Amino acid sequence: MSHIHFPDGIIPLYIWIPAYLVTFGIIFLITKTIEKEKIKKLLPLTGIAAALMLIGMSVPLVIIPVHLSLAVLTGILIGPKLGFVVVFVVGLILASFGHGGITIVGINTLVIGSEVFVGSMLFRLLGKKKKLLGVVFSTVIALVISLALMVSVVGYTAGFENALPHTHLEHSHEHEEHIDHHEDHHEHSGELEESISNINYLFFSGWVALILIFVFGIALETIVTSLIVMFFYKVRPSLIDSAHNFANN
Amino acid sequence: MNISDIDYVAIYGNSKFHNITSSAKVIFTCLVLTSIIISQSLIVQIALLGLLLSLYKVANLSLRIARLAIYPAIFAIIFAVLVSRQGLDYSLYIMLKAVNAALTMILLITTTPYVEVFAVMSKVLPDLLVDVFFMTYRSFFILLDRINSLLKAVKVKGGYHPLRVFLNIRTIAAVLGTLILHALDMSERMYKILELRGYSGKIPIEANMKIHKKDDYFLLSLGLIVLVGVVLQWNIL
Amino acid sequence: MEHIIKVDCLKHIYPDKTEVRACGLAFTVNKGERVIILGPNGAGKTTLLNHIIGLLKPVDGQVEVLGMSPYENFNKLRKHMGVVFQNVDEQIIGPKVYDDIAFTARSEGLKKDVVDKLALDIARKLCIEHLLDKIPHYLSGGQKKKVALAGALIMKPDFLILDEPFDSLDAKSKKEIIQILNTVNQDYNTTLIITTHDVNVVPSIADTIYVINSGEIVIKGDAAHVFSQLEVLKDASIDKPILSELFFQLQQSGIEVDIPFSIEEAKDKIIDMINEGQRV
Ligand SMILES: Nc1ncnc2c1ncn2[C@@H]1O[C@H](COP(=O)(O)OP(=O)(O)O)[C@@H](O)[C@H]1O
Ligand SMILES: [Mg+2]
Repeated sequence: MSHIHFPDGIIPLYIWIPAYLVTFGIIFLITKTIEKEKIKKLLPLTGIAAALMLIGMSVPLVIIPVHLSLAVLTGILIGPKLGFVVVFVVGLILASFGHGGITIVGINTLVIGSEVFVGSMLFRLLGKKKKLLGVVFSTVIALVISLALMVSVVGYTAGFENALPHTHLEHSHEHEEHIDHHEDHHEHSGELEESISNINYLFFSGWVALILIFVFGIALETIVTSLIVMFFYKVRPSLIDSAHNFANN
Repeated sequence: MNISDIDYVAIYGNSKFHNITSSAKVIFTCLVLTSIIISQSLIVQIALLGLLLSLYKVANLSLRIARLAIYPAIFAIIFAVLVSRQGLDYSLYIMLKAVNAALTMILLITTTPYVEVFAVMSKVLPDLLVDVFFMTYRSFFILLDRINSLLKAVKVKGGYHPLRVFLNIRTIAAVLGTLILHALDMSERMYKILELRGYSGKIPIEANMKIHKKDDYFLLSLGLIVLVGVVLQWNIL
Repeated sequence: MEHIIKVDCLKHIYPDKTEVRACGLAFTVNKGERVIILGPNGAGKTTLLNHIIGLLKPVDGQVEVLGMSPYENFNKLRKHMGVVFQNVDEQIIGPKVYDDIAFTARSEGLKKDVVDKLALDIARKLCIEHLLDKIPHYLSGGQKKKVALAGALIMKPDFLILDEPFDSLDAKSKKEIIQILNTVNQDYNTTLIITTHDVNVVPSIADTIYVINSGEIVIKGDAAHVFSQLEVLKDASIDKPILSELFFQLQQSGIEVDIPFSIEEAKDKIIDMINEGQRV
């Protein structure tokens, strides 16, 4: 659900490059630790889950204007590791035609990947005994966490306007100082502080309105995820259990 | 314009640019993207936009395709206006940066089929990631066909009416349910097929990506010149 | 002669409790034989094939391939089999046609020049060399079938198993596929096991036909025998194969003519024969 549709050039280098590095680190760890049998078993479902996410974004749903990411669902279906890979792959494909910048893919993968990870791990803990409660709880918590992450990334970027690259050299210098000591930045110049607080006000009052949308979004995504998971349990009970080794324990 | 249209243009488009070896185009894209990202000058961004647009001309790409870049442009403008208050120059600069980056990606993807881009990336990315890409690509088209025929059936049977919201929601739920069941069964069948065909944990591909044509070298040189130009300009300032 | 495949009163139960049987006459296959399993939709043809391939585990009854249970010896037996499923879209895995045809050979770890030779040979045999660089999604139905077939044949399997290979193909593609299958059968002595509900293709490809209807194998025999039992065919709601029957009988009486798959084709053939002055 929380999807940063930022184009390139807004999020500063010192955020997106480390985000990419961490993403690749995680993917490397995943490829090293995932069992080969699991890949064989889940590769088609992984591809299909990614395809469904992409289709969800390219087939216009005329009636429902909300766009669901169903990342938690993906995590529950194929587990956190392959789920993370799916998020990256989908992000990269979307960026290939300008739907979100290519430099943002790392950040997006981390934010939505956390949703997949938290969601599926919680579900693994809770879903074995109480299925419905497990899904609802895992989805809500996962969404709240990833939203919080997204808000901090956006807020951070928006709040430090001077952290953006500049056309003038003097600004560039200032901005380097900001990165290093951003806690005490208001001591540097009062004028700057004022303008930042203005912007923050403008920006975050917008966010207050957005929080309502978020609550609605979380509710909707949770309902849809729960319905689909329960549907899976009805028609293909072994599927979810095998993704989480429920049957083995 | 969606993924299947884009793929179609990339495969059936015919131009000098389409014919360039995929690996050269991918490297060129990386060089230009780097230039766009590191350049901090409005003039350079304008020049890069000019370059990109002329390449669109060379690649015979229609305006319909370049329209894909409107979305990042709008987003960048909102951001520039809302957050930066740095005046017109700066807003223009932020917007051009976003548009240029998007145009660069779109140029690659509308002139190079996805499977070839994946094949080039398979040289550097882990096998698992590449296999997921290929599986996603295959499944996307299979499922898209399926959805289209489902939607057609729905329209024929009168399950869709522009003004009857509840009818539509019920229909969509039904379509979604059918689709998900189909997708599940399909994934089970595909798993068995992989076993049967001897899948060994990697979809083996032949990536014949040798850069050899005159145009390949030309494009690569162009990319290098752009990057060097931007870096020099950056150092001088 | 020792049968290489034997199925005896197979019973399968799907997770949703649907019970499928293949009882009645015993199902046996000899090396190099061309076997057709003919039956209406829902008769249990695909289920039977999946048991022979080893994808399903029988609840009851016996399935033997090369003297082994296919389910328990899946990994050993799969190397002897080439399979073309009904929906070939789902079995084409390679991003390009060439990659797909070469998939099994490469996954076995064969050397590049060996793989290249195998893939080119089979592509040539199926007349799809011009498609090697194409992306499967953009091929026609008939072309996809051929690509899947080439992928199944690359390792020259002992059996080739095809589920409804003629489904949704036009008359021309049907004919091409039949020709290819017959050539493969002759050149490599490949055993063919083919399901279909299309009675008109039967005479041109079958040595032995099994008619299966609601869990029972009701007829076994060659085309002449099967076509003589019109009542049983009607019970199995299999179309009366008038065209095939007519042309089949023409063949039997010594006239050299292929069996047509459509009225148009039959018309053309008859006109040809008249023009050539052949007595009909
Ligand atoms: N995966 C499945 N789950 C439940 N029932 C099935 C499944 N596959 C097939 N069946 C049922 O088993 C019967 C035989 O199907 P199938 O073997 O596919 O027949 P055919 O190939 O002759 O059309 C049908 O009634 C069908 O509905
Ligand atoms: Mg069938």
